[in-house]
Formats: sequence, structure tokens, C-alpha cells
Amino acid sequence: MYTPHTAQDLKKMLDLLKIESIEELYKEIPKEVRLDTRTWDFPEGKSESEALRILKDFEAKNLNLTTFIGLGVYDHEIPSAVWALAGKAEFVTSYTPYQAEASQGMLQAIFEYQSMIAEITGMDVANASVYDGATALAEAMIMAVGDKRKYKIAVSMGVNPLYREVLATYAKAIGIEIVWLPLKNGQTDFLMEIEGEVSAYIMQQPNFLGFVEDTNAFRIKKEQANSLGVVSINPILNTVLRKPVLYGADIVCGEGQSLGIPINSGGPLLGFMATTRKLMRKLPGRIVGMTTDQDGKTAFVLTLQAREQHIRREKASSNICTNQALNALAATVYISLLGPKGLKEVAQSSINNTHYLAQELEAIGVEICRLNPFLMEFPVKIPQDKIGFLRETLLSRGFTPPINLGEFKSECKESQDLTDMYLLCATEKRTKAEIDAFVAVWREIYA
Amino acid sequence: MSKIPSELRYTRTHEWVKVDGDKVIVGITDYAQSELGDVVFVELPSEGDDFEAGSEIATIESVKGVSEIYAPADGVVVEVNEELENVPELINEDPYKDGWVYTFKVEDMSVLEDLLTADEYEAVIKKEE
Amino acid sequence: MRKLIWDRGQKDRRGYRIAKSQTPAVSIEKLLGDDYSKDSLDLPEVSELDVVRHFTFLAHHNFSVDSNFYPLGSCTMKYNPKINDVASNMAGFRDVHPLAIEALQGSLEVMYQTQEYLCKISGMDAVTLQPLAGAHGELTGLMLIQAYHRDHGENRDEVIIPDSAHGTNPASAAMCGYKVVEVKSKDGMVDVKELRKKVSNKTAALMLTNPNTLGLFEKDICEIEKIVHDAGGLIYYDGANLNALMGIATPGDMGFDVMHFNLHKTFSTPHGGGGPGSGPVGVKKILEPYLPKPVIVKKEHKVLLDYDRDRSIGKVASFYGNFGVVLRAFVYMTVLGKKGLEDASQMAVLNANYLKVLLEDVLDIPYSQGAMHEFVASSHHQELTALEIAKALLDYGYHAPTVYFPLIVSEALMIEPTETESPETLEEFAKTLKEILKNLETSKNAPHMMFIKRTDEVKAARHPILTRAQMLENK
Repeated sequence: MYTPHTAQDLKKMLDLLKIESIEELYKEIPKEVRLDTRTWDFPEGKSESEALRILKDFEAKNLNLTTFIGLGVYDHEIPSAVWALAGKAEFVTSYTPYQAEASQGMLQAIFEYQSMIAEITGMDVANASVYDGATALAEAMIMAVGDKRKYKIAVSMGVNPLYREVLATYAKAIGIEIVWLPLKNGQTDFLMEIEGEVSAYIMQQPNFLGFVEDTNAFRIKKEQANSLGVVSINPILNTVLRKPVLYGADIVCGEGQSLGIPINSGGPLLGFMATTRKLMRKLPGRIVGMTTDQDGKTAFVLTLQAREQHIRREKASSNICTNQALNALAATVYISLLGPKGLKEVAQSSINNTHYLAQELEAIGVEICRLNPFLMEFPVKIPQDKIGFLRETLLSRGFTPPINLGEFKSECKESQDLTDMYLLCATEKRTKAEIDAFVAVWREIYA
Repeated sequence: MSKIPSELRYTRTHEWVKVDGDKVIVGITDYAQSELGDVVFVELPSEGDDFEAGSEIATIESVKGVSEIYAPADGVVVEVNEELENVPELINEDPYKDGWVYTFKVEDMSVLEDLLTADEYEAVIKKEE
Repeated sequence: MRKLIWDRGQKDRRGYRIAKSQTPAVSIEKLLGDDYSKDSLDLPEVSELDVVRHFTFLAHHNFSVDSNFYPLGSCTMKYNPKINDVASNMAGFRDVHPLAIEALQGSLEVMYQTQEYLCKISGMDAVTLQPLAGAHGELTGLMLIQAYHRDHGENRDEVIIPDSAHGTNPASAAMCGYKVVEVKSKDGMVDVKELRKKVSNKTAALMLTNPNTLGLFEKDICEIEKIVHDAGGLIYYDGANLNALMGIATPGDMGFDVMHFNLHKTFSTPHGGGGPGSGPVGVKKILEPYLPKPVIVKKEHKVLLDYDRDRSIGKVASFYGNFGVVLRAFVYMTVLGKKGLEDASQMAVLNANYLKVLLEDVLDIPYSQGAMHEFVASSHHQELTALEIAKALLDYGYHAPTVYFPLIVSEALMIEPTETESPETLEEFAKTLKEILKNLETSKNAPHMMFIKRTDEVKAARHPILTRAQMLENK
């Protein structure tokens, strides 16, 4: 399939190569490693319609649920124009824009993306994106260690538990020691004394329970320690939150999936990273800059490439070469469509819905954890005798069951116990009717 | 043909060293700058940092490559050429004067006697070419 | 003057309105106190049509596989079939939350089936789809190697890498704290004698691309395998060039212990202007216990996420991999099947060899032995540099080959036509190269026909302008 060669083509090509058969092209491969296709167990090809039928069968095995969960990826509205534009084949089927003259479209889009991410995070510069929110945080950790040269970092237990696991994996491979800062009453104990010096203090705002953290404590400790401040944020909520640079952030990163990208069963997502002018040359990944061409016309190019693996090889600041360009482009279109007011409206509407959901559940006797102010997510405590039936009923009525926080690994014994705690979320995409129907299921179980 | 002033001493890693009382001034050679091409950024050490001989002390980036500057002996950084932060091209334009990188207080000045003379350095780059 | 999206707007213009909030308004200011920000953001204020015009304009100034021949060596810019896009737009896959496990069975089955297919193609025993790109796969693979040696009480801190390798290999090894030991090439292939000298009880692994970056099959692979394994090291296969070998030979049979796939190269998923990619990792049995969590397994007709893996290196990404990319690769393998995969590799190799012969009297071909799916030419003896040739090609509507790589060939042009191009396209391309080398004056300053001329990269790197705010400041 998809190969254009006719029998005449093959004859012409083999003649030019002065060979009898294609087999001769493989004469350098030792016989003992040649695959015997007669015994190679691989299915025969399918027609397009057969393949689509197979796909539909798999698709039908997924459940179409109304989403009331988040933990890093969120079910927001996606304007039709986002993928009508980001999905254009000229973008989709292009490669990394090494040849600037032939890639001005993607390069300019990424420049605009970097500008928007810098604006939303409140930082000076941003890179062209990395894989996802978890790896963005891991890259931020590596960047901080590279700058401060202390192989130790302090990480809040308020960071998304999935991200914490990725940080731990990277830290172990690299040889970085992580000091976990426990959660107490829903907020991180930043003031905990740490032995020795750390390269960075790492936190998430709001933390994974949905609670707003004590940013002043973060700033004090980060400054006392003369370490870098790394803050993982939600780009939608950050439009209404105090800018991380005001409480000591040197690197701001996070998951950009909320900006027009489908949840996609977990990927591809969009990791973003932004930093100060001072640390600009330590930022990993691709970066686009503005310059001029020979005629003095504005042009965009990949720049600061000396940091990267294809030049520095083993001395590179990271091994990363892929970014999530297409998703970064989608985010750029999304942010353009929504604009400064629209983004704040998404935040406002999501917060309204989440608080309404919390109040309605509370009214029927569900225990809502209100230790601190929350925005778009909140924890609830569900008794063990109720959760099984609740899960089943929610699923059968077409709703996602809440996320069980007790299932995640706790790296820190002193951190508060999350057994029987569950996480809920309601974005702007949820209608009041959907929220009411969701609550009605809980009412049955709690009655 | 690159310039190799006879009054300076050199390292095999293409730094020049000029003795100035109890300290030395260090930069990269004309040959090194021409190999690197247009310098776009210089990462400088902080004043007061101490380094062991042979350890990385500064980094010079061009569009096509990166080159490290190594400490010529054990010692402490006295001063850095802050001008390079805004005008890195000084290294290309005038590597032996305005393009100096840092001054260094060397613990044991006698080790500097092991550095190459201009003639010896010329032989080194001939070999590389 | 180039217009940024901001320049197309007017204050208060809107491009999209979300549904009006139906629930009671919360005062965020009261809720957050000091943590509240009223600051307005300097973002575009444009209509939907403004946005459509802007990004359509940008699309028109971008080369792509759909519009241009793209013989970019090592990147496998093959055609991306449209059925893949249909699949990735299916709402049942697209809208599922990865933590709604009960809702995910179909997606999990696609992932499981893809793992099975990749095992068959590679001769590996198990595959994880979690790594999100090739370099991420490399990093994961090295973490597995590290975990294996640690588990066996061995302290091996060196990774051997040929001088022709991709830059990601040494960068990934260094990230894991390994010392990189370079082994030189001889006649374009690993110098076996030198390799023998470089292995020791410190050798954690050898990383090898096969066919290598010169497009040559490492014909001493069996001996190489023995040398490294005898020294107690493992062998890593960089899957960048797997497109030459589907249905022809497997890394598993060659003795490799661990490898990554680039789904965006070999398995026709689009490159998206630099990503998202996907870099699944395949391993032999000995490394299976260390695979990242969760492992996707099948138990009694049900596909499950197995978190109960006490020797796992842990998670390397938020969820289970770039599912949207994996889905496209799954469709590709399903449609091609056994014969189609073999045919793809064969035609990729045939096209590369055909183009190589067509270019023999145009450029130097430093390694004249049989090429696989790509070959390296050199303009060392021509009056144009590789860069000048690359830029001149753009004027003719061709994307440039990879230039100045691999590092061991001077003025290198690395050319990979892929299997989906017709012989006519290759003939035209060869003819164009001849013309470019004839019209020296025109070629030297190319491109002339593109939207911009050659760019000032020194200026960009010396005084970086990376955002609109920095641009305004600079004015």
C-alpha cells in the first residue's frame, strides 16, 4: 500500500542498478539474521473499510462518559476552528523547521506560542514546548540542578502524584536526591527544615487536591536556601492567580492540554516551560527567535541551538529533540480565539461549576474537604461502604467515577493520609443539567 | 594564518595566558575564534570562584558549536570581562585584547612555566590543520 | 512587515465565546485574597475569521510531505495516509479520560495490539508505549539498562557509541550519568578491532543504529553482538532506521536487548512540525521486569493496566503514551499487514539505491557499497557547499536533505527518499541537483523564490528575541 511502483517501474529501476531482484539489495545482511517471511507470523493487510470496521469495534469498547474528573487533563470546550487550522496538512506533515526559509509558517506560529506562554506564565521567555506536564517538570528539575550544581531538590507533596512518580524515575536515573515536603491540612509544609543545600524548591499551584498553596512560605524558603523556584501551573487558572514570578518562580511549567487539545486517552499532550531572561540559555528543547533575512525582512529561525543535543552531544542540556509543535500550534489558535477575556471566562465558569457541584453534594450529606480555598477541583471523603455502589451507578448512568487518591503512591510518611479521599472537577463545559444529573446519582446512594 | 603574539603563553586547548603581576589574564586564541566562527554568547564564571587546573571555567558559544575554556592552573577568578555579555563578538574582533575573558589569581605561578611558547603553540595548530 | 496574530486584532474583538455560565458566580477575588490577579493579559483580540486568515497564511508558507518531496535523511518523511487522521479523530478514542479506567477498554486493546505488532516486527519480547518520542525512548531504554545492572550488583558506567551516531545517543547516555566512549568507524561501519579494545567490565551498553546513519548495514553485527555480550554489556538498538528492515530482519534476531521505535518515522505518523512523536521501547525477557509502570497486559480477554511491578523503573510520562500517535501507527500496520510492511521496506531501499545511482555523476558518494533506505552524498569536491545546495533545492520546491550529518563526512548531504515516492520524482530530483550545480551563481545565494531569503542566525543567537514582548522592547 501507498508505494507507487508498477512492474515497469521495478524493471527500469533494477536494470539501472544492474541487479536481477530486490533480494540482491539485502546481500550485506548476514543470512543468520534474515527473517523468513514464510514463517513470520504477522496478519495480512486489510482494506480501508475493513480497517475502519476493526477500529469502530475497538472504539465501541470505550465508554462515552460525561467527565467530572481532571488531575492534570481536563475536558474543556474546543472551538471548531482550532483543529480546522492546526489540522492543516501543511503543518501536520512538516518536520522540525530546520530549513527556516521553507518553514516560516510553523516558525512564526511557535514564536507566537512562546509569546503567549510567556504572557500567561508571567515569565520572560518560553521554549517551543516539551512532551507533557510531567516531563516538563522533570526537565525543569534537571535545568535547576544544572544551574545550581547541587544534586538535591525539595519537592512538594502537593505536586500531581503522577508527576511525582516521573520526577522520582528521572531523579533516580540521574542521581538526584529528592526531599519530599509533606502536605499538612491540604497545604505543603514548605517551612520544614532540610539538611544540606538544594538546587530547587518545586511546587504546584493549585496543588493536586485543588487547593491554593501558601506561596509566601514557598518564597521565603526558596530565597533562604538560595535555590531556584520551580512552579507547575494550570494555564487556565493562572489567568486569575498571582503570577508565580511574584513569589519566587524562576521556572514555570505545566500541562497545556487545557488549551484546545483533546484528552486523547492520555496523549499526546503539551508540556510548556518558561523562565527568566537570566536562565534563558539553560532552557532545554527547541526555541524560535526573531531575526532578519538578507534583505532586512523579518524572519523566524530556530535559535540558541548550541544548548542542544545535535551540537553538544553528551554535553547538551537535555537529550530532547521532539517538541509537541502541532499541539503548541493548536494552543496558539485556541488562545487567539479565546483572547485575554475569554481565557478568564473559562476560569470563572469552571470555578462557578466546581463550586456549585461542591455545594450541591454537600447539601445531600457528602463530606467535602474544605481545608483551603479550591478552584476547579476538590477532594471529597467517601465512606468505604458507599464507594463500590457509587462507582457502579455512576458508570451505568454515563458518568466518570471520582479519582481515588488513596491509590497513589505516597513518597512521604509525614504527609497527610488520603485514604478514602476522592477528587472531583467540573469544567466550563459541564452544563447545570449535567451537574444536577450527576448529583442526583449521589443523592440516591447517600439517601 | 592566525595571529600568535610572541609575548603570550598558550595552552593546548587554545587559550592564551598573559602574566600580569601576581595574576594572569586569559582569553582564547585567534585560531580558536576563527574555528568557532561568530561568537554569540559567553558564559562567565563569578568573581571569587575557585577552580582546579584543567576544570571548565567558562563556555563560548557560536552558532555552530560550543567551546569550553579551562583553568590554566589552580586559582581564583579575580575579574571577568562583563563587556562580553552584551558584545560577545569582541572575541572575534580582538581576541587578544578587548576579547579577554577573565583574570585569575594563580596559587603557584611556577606551574605557568609549563605553558606553551608562541612557537610551540604554532606547532600545535599546524598539526590540527 | 510581517503581521503577528496580535496585529490583526482590535481591543474587545472576540473569536470565540464559551457557553454562558448557568451556575452561581463565585467571587474569585474573595476566594483567593492576596493570591488573586486582576492583571489583564496582552493576548490577541481577534475574530474567528482573523484567526482563520492568519493561520491559513502561515500554512501557505510551510513545506510539508503533502506538498513537497522531503528527502530528509534519518527522518523518514514518508507519506502519512489519510485513514490515520480519520482514526485519530474518532470521538470514542479522542474524548476518553485516561483515569476513567472502565471507559478505556477499547483504547487499551488498541495499545495492547500495537505492542504485539511491534514485538513481531522487532523480534523483541515486550514493548512499552509510554515514551513520548524517540529521544524519550532512548532515555527510557538506558534507564532499563541501568536498572538491570544495578539489580545484578554491577557498577558499569560507560556507554559505547559509534562516531556516526545521532546526537541524542550521547546526550541520553550522559543524562543517565554514563560516560560516553566513542568508537571510530572504519569504511563507514563500526571498527570491530577498536570496539574490542573499548569494551570492558565497565561497559554498560553499546548503542547502535542499524542500518547506521550512513545507510549501511553493519554486516559484522553478529560479531559486535558477541563482543559486547561477552564483556557483560547490553546492546541498544536505535530504531531511527527501522524503515529498511520491516519483514526483512529484526533487531531481536541480531541480538539487541533493548530498542526504541520512532512511530513518526517508520510507522507513518505525521511529524507535526516537530512533534508529537512516539518512542515505544522494546525489550528482551531479561529487561521486562524493569519496564515503566503501568504495563499494559492481557488477562482472560481483558486488557489491564498492571501497576504491580516491584522492579519497574517507575513512570516516565503522565499516562500511557501518546495514544493518538499510537492509534495512527496501529492503523498503518493493520492496513499494510505482512506483505505491505515488507514491500514498504523493500521499496524504501530500492528508491534509495536508485537515487544513489542517479546521483553518482553529480555528487561524491563516499561509501559506495550497497545502501539501505538512505545514503550519504558529499559536495566536498563541488563548488557549492552542502548548505548552498540545500538552500538552492528549496527554490525548486524540494525540501533539503539533512546536511552536515553524520559528522564523519564533510559537506554531507544525507538523502532518504522513502518508499512512497515514484521513480519519476527521483529522476526529476536528480536532474534538479545537476542544474543547481551548473548554475553556480544563482545557487550560491539561494533561495530566491521563497518568502524570505537566508536568515541572520548570528543576530538571532547573539541578541535573542524570543517573544513579542521582547520584540516590542527591542524597537
